[in-house]
This record gives sequence, C-alpha cells and structure tokens, in this order.
Amino acid sequence: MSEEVLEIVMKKDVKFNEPVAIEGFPDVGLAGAIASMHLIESLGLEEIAYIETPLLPPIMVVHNGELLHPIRVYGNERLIVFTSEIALPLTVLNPLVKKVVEWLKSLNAKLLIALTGIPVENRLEIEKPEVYAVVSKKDYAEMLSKHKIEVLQEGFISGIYALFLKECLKAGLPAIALVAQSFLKYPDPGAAAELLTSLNSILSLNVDVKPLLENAEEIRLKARDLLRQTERVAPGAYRNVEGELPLMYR
Amino acid sequence: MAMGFPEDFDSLWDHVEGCMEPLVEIRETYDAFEIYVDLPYVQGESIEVRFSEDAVLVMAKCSRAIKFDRWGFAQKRTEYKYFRKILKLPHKIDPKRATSTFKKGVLKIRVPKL
Repeated sequence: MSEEVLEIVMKKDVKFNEPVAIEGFPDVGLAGAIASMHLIESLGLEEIAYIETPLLPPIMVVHNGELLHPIRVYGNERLIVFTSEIALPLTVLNPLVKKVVEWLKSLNAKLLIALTGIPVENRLEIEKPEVYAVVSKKDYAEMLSKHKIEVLQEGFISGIYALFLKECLKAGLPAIALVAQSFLKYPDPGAAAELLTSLNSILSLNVDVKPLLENAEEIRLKARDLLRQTERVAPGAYRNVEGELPLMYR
Repeated sequence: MAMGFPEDFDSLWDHVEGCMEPLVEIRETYDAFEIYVDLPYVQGESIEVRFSEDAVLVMAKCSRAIKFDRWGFAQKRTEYKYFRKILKLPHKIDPKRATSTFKKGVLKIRVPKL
C-alpha cells in the first residue's frame, strides 16, 4: 500500500510561518481528541485542509448542514491542529502519519505536539490527572521541566503518537507527546483539560479549560460513539505494552 | 440491588424506549468481577442493579431527558431518559456478596465469583 493514496487537500491558502502542529486523533479515553476539538473551538480556528483517502470507510460528517470530511486540519499561519471525528483504522495510521510529517516538514513547522492519554486503573480515584511527556530528542526535557512536565525516561509507547514520534525523529522534526492519565473505556474530559493546561504553559496559550470540566457529562455522552468506534477499529489492547518494562531498563 | 431480569434487550440506541447503552469496562480478578459503568446525567439514587446467576443488569434514569435535536436521523426524534445494559459474565456470580459505589458519574460494581 502506498502513501500516495492519502492526500492533504488544502481548503484555504495559508502563509505558514514556522507553525506548531497539534495532533489530537482519537485514542485512549479520547483525551487528545476532546482536547483538540476544544482547542479549535476556543481559538476559533478555521478549517484549512482535510485528509482525502480511500483507506477510510465511506463516511462524511454534516455540521450546520455543511458536508465535511471526518479528518480535518484547522489553524492559521502559526498553529495547525489535526483532528478526526471517526476512529482511525490501523491500516490508515502509517500512511496518515507519514504524509502529515512530510507535509509539516515542507511547511517548515518547528514542532509537533501529540496529545493523548495513558490508561490508569485507578483513574476514578485521581482528581487531577498528571501529564507526562515523551520527546523525540532528549534536549526537550529541560524545557519541559520548566513547565513542570516530567519526561518519560524508560518504557514502551504505542499508538498513533508513537508513530508520530518515530516519523518526526526520522524527518528531524522536533516532537513532543503529552500524555495524560486517563480512563481507557470512557471519554475523559478531565484528562483533556490537563493536556490543554500543559499546552497552555508550553505554547503560552490561554485556552479556558473550565468548559471541559463544567460540561463533562455532555461531552462524555456525545463522545460515547467515537469511543466505541475507536475500541472497535483499534482495540486498546495494543496500548497494554505501555505498562510493561523494556529489557534494557537500568 | 435485586435478582432476576429478562435477557431480551441489549442495543446501542433504543429509539422506541428512549434508552441508551452505557460504556462499560469489566475487569476480572481471580475471585471477582469489577464492573465500571459510565453514567453521565445520572444521580446515584436512580440506579437499579439486578443479578442473574451469570449476568448483571444495570438500569439508570437520567436526571433530565436528553435530546439530540441536531443529530442524525433517528436520534433527533427521540428523547433519551434511561441507560440500560445487560452484562453477561463468563462465570457464575454470588450477588449476595456484591457491592457497589457511584462516584463521578461512574458506577462500580464488585461481584464475587461462585
């Protein structure tokens, strides 16, 4: 299967200026997906492009009567946000990630930040989920420590953010994954709020996360179907490896 | 908690009865099942749990009717007022020793195996 079957189709002509890209595709607890959608809404970002590929099921989305592609790109000259309203089948992940990273390199993007969750068994007992980081280059750890974000030192990572980090490493595009403690099987607006709080700190944004917490019940209800889809097409089982220790730990 | 229920219903959206199926996680230990049920818009007192010898039925009334006016074809015509889910378990269970808690909109049921 070739990457050529996947295209990023521009809807607007944007003069990018070393943009930062945020990836919030559906994954554990939908923390990244909820966060990216709230980010788009809060900053009033416009749709600038969409993903076109026959690798996806034949699904389109209707919002306010407008027909939209399910995987969309929002942003402006300094910020790009990727989001999807459908679960991403495993077969689309590699071509999608490769194409996105190649595109970001061509735009001279300066950083990619992936937003995701890490399932924790006692999430119900945790009031304020912690956010960790995984970095494509060790040097970013010092910068993140200034934002009180601990960087993963040893362990496995898996899922779409692992692919993004891998491709960014190959392409020489700086990349950070922010990973919030999260529910595995339910939408987690609380985890999304913590991801955005960390993002606010790193990028000096001012996204109000209160609506995520105040409207948590509504978000949980509306996100049920996407979470079910995500479990069906990319079962959470493969994320279990993240709880295991690699052989070479010291 | 009560015993016995008809095992005749388990769909995603029931547009006739206005029922939704909740998201559920089942964890199995060597001697028990821990069942977590996500119940947004539900107050603890409106939850009913029933058991059969190897299944659990969870029913809950929402604190307000939920409408998806702008959504889909079937959903927009329906008011959803309930969650309902039957959970078949791979072992016989002992409902008499079952316990449950409801916190942050998530119902946790612990039911020992027989």
